[in-house]
Amino acid sequence: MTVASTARDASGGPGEEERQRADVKKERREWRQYVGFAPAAVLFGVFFIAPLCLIVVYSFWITKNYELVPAFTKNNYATIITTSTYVRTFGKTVLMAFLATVAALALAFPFCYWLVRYVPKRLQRMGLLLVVLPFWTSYLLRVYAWVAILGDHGAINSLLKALGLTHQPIRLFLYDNPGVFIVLVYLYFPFAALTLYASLERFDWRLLHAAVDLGATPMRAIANTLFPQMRLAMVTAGIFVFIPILGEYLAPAAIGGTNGVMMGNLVANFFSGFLLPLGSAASVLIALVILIVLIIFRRSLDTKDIYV
Amino acid sequence: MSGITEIKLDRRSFVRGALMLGAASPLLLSACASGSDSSSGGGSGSGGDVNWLTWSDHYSTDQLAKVASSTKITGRPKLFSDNADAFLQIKQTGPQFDMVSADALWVKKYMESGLIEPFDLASISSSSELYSMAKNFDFLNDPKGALGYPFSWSTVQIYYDPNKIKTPPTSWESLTDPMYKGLIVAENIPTDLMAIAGIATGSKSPYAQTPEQVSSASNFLGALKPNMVKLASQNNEIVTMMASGEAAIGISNLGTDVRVKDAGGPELKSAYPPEGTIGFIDSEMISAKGANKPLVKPFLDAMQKSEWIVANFTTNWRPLFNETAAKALTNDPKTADNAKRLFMDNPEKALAMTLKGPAQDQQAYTEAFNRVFGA
Repeated sequence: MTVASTARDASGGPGEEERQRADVKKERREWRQYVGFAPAAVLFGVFFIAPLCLIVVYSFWITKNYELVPAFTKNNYATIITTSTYVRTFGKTVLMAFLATVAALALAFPFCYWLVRYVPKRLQRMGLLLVVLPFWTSYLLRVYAWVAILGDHGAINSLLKALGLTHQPIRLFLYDNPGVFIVLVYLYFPFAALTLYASLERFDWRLLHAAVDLGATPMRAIANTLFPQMRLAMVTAGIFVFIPILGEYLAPAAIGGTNGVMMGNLVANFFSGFLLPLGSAASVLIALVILIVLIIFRRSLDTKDIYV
Repeated sequence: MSGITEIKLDRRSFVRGALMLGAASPLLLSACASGSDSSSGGGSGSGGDVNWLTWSDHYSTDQLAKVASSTKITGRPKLFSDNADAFLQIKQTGPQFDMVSADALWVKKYMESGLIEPFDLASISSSSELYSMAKNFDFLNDPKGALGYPFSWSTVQIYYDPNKIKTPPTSWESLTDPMYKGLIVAENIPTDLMAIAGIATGSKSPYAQTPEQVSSASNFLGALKPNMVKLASQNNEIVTMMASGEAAIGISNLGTDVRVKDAGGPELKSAYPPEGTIGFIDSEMISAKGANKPLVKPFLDAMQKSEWIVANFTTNWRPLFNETAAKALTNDPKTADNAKRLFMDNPEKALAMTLKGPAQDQQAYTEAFNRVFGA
């Protein structure tokens, strides 16, 4: 049966039938176009939205005699917000994340600048490989490697001893906040470097030359031509570094000792002590900080912008 | 291909779809979890895996490999540090764990919550090697049967390196002296540290402190905090830190001195606090919902044979309840001294300490602890 004969059989005439068929085809096409996104939607929904929903729900519940009781209460939030230790730890976590982000960017920018401008293209890949090399080992190993580096019998103390500068091991940074800061910068430097490199690689360096030709000092040329174009990449890199640091648990636990505690450690204690609602409330507050950061910098999240 | 390029899925639609999936997935996951109850495999005769929530000193990899080759049952341990943490995991994971380890009074808590299954201890032939008093612990027995297979015990005391500590600590209270600044390491178990602080401040029921006692205990921990270099995630981290000299005082189990020496560390001395102390009597329990729980008894039988208990003692150096192993150890000149010194032949000592258990008000304990050890 041809399309024409089918059209003749239809009560609405050939034109109507054609339109209906076209509509059905269009609907089917529109439906099918979503199928490609199904894996991403499943991943996003099941592994991100669902746990987040559970945490939000738990944060309004209570625990009674090692049982979770679904009784709606805002007390968990009130406890976190009104307890000076928790507020202090929360503030310290945000500050630590901010400082480590600034430091990671401050180190990553000159490194990427040097890599893009002064290293031959074929060797740039080698440089990038060195940046991502630590990812080939476990995160846990990378953190514990710093215990070995900063520890009493670690690389730094061994070197100082070998040089005759010390006789007894000196505790440099380990089991305190500076140690946590150093390790966080080390851990998240690659995130910043890769993002900035992607942007710098596409920068039109003739703009810099033009600025210098027009009388700008090299620093002024960088400040007035390069930085404005790098701003979005900087923000994106900052977000990539800042957000995971807010939830850090292992680095402060392994390196920070009793002085280097961050919010993630308290949350872990809440969870291991069966205080899921309090731990969830603290986690939701951390997520809120992340949300605020994302809202403030939402325009920078368009990833195509980081490529200038 | 044109279909892909013509996609007009906007961010709003994507997020809406993901949200719907996210909201539906907890239901789906719980349905899958309950469904897996019935689909669990593994019979006692066929071999398989025993998923085991435990501490690192309850097994060795060599032991697991040999037990697997002789019984076709492979132990798959997952570690925890705090009893409350293990309790939570068993409560939330359902059939995923077949066996779980717990300290003394926690066992009853598991039973009250319907998380473990009583069993006939005599049906595990290795149990004939146990001290008879260990088979009769109140907290490990129930009219329905045995609740746990008694494994090991230890008090928690103070160990110190005499080369670095010129004025030895003599009590819990003495540990707050500023001369020990940054020298102490203890395990990060909030409930137990609060109990120790309770004992230090005069509480007679360290796991059931009143709000005033919790406050005093919290003040004690506040005074102790500057002297603590780190809260270790597992007991073996205490050994590592004391062996490397990063900590000079450890709040730890019996035998820590031998383990530190074995790890190349200094000769330690111990101090038993006159205020009293806490301690554990741990045991292995059968998870009520374990998918492979029929395998637990043959697995336990193989794991608890005296030869393995001897090996466990000479690795971890804290007493165990296997009498046959105790005899072998005390008769061997190489191990006799340590076996006697560390009470391998004197299990009655285990009943002199305050047994670890769940806190009466867990929220108050954890919160008080976090308030001290936060920033």
